[in-house]
Amino acid sequence: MKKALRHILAWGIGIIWVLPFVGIVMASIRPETEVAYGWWIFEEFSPTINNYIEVLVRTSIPLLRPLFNSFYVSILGSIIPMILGMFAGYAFARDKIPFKRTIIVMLLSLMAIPLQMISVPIFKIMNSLNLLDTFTSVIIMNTATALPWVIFFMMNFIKAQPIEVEESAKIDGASSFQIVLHIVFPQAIPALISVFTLQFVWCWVDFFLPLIFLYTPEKYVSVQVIPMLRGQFVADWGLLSAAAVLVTAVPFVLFMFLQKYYIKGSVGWIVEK
Amino acid sequence: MRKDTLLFISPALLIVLIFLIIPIFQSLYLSFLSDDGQFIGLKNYIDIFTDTRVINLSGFPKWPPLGALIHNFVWIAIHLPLTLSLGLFFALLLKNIKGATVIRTVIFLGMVVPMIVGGILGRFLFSQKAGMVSRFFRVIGVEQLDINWIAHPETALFALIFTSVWLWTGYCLVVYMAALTTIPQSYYEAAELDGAASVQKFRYITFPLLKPATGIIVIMTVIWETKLFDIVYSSTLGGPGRATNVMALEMYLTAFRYFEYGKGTAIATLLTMMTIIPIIFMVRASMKS
Repeated sequence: MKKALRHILAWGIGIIWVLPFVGIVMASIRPETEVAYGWWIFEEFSPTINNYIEVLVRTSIPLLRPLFNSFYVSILGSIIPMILGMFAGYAFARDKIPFKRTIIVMLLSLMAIPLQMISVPIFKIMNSLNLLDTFTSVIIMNTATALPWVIFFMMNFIKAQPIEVEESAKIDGASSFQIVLHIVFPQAIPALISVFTLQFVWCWVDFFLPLIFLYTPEKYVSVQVIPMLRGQFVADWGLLSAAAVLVTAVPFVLFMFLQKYYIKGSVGWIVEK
Repeated sequence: MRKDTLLFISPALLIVLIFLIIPIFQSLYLSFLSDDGQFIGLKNYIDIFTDTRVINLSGFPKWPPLGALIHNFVWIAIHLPLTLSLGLFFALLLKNIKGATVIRTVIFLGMVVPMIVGGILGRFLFSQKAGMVSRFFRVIGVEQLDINWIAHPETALFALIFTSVWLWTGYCLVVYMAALTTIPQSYYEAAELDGAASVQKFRYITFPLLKPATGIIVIMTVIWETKLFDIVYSSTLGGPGRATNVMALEMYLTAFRYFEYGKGTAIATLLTMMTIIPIIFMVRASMKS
């Protein structure tokens, strides 16, 4: 009896929890008149993909190009820290480094710094490097903010791997670079997938960096466009929700396929079932 | 240090140094300057604390607008306990339920929703005719809340807070679920042999052993909340009448819209101060392992 109650409660909560998502999808595929008084009213139901077509190609800021821009920025903003972080993580895991503890503490502390803290100086730096209004500036900053946690994450992962394989390779005369490439990297693939999943999503959803660095419409990223679709007093919910669905779909899909890696990335590989 | 080691860590550490560490100190320095570059010490900070955009205590307690700083604290005060308890509650509830994976995934999805979209969702959910929340309150008879929450200063902030709770609970669930798996089943079995009821099992086994997880969640949540920006930007831009202003947004407006760089960096420094205590705990906890 108690079991049944728990099931009902759990499923009830599940349904309530998913309703906002359902609502926004409904608003995106049904004409405004149908959802103006509540999307749960199904007297008339005439789904249409008009809103999607409209928001992708016909509005003043079509969403199609920004979606590609988001991909570009997110992929580079993930792969670069992955590579740099893996090599640095290996060095922190296996090699002697002066002041290693201090550097690690510093890296950890950096993780929590709000972007706003560095926003004015990095704006000036990018300006002097002529990198304003370029994807490069966003990618560099995504990399810079990713490196502290990626290095720490990879360091812990590599430390947990048996060192014997690397040591015998060293005895055989392998260089550090070869060791990383042929031993550490294959072992670290699960960790790297975690890093990629988390970092890609982080880059995709980031709004502040594009806000201060990207100004020409061809360079806007997808999240940046959404507030621009919202009018001050009148909201075209059809367009807004279609845009919201499109922009959220990408991290959703990534999450659905790589859920295990995303979660391990969030809580660490230390906690094993 | 070996040459290889130096080669491996240099690119990463150089990027961090040039684009993260040095800017932090540059910001700090800027916060002590006036807008035309004169050194004015703590004047920017004093200005901030007396600015009603940041702290507005006239006629306290009353409804928002109460100033950006107060809004951040209100947000933490409501959001943290709610997400913590909901995360724990769901982690326990969804143990051994058929189809729990589906339900859990739905709750997890909140973690990957862009906060910009979160703002849009908030506006949608809490709007008067089209929104579920307003309709719910009408159905249960609380007519005063059958309004467009975002348009009223008294309720706008809370609409955003509840939306962020819905989105952030997924993270708490993830951490608690992982932590629950580390509690050996044998503890519960031994307790059952001694005749312990469920409540006692929770109070004496589960809850104490979850303290580290709770600690992690508190730290990460507080840090996340000081950075709240997107959700406010896309839903209200701090309005109506600054009723949803938060420190990160105030910093952006001050520095990038009003061009008051000294004051802006001072706000940013204050924001960073708010994260110092969680950071200290986080570093200590991470260094233990």
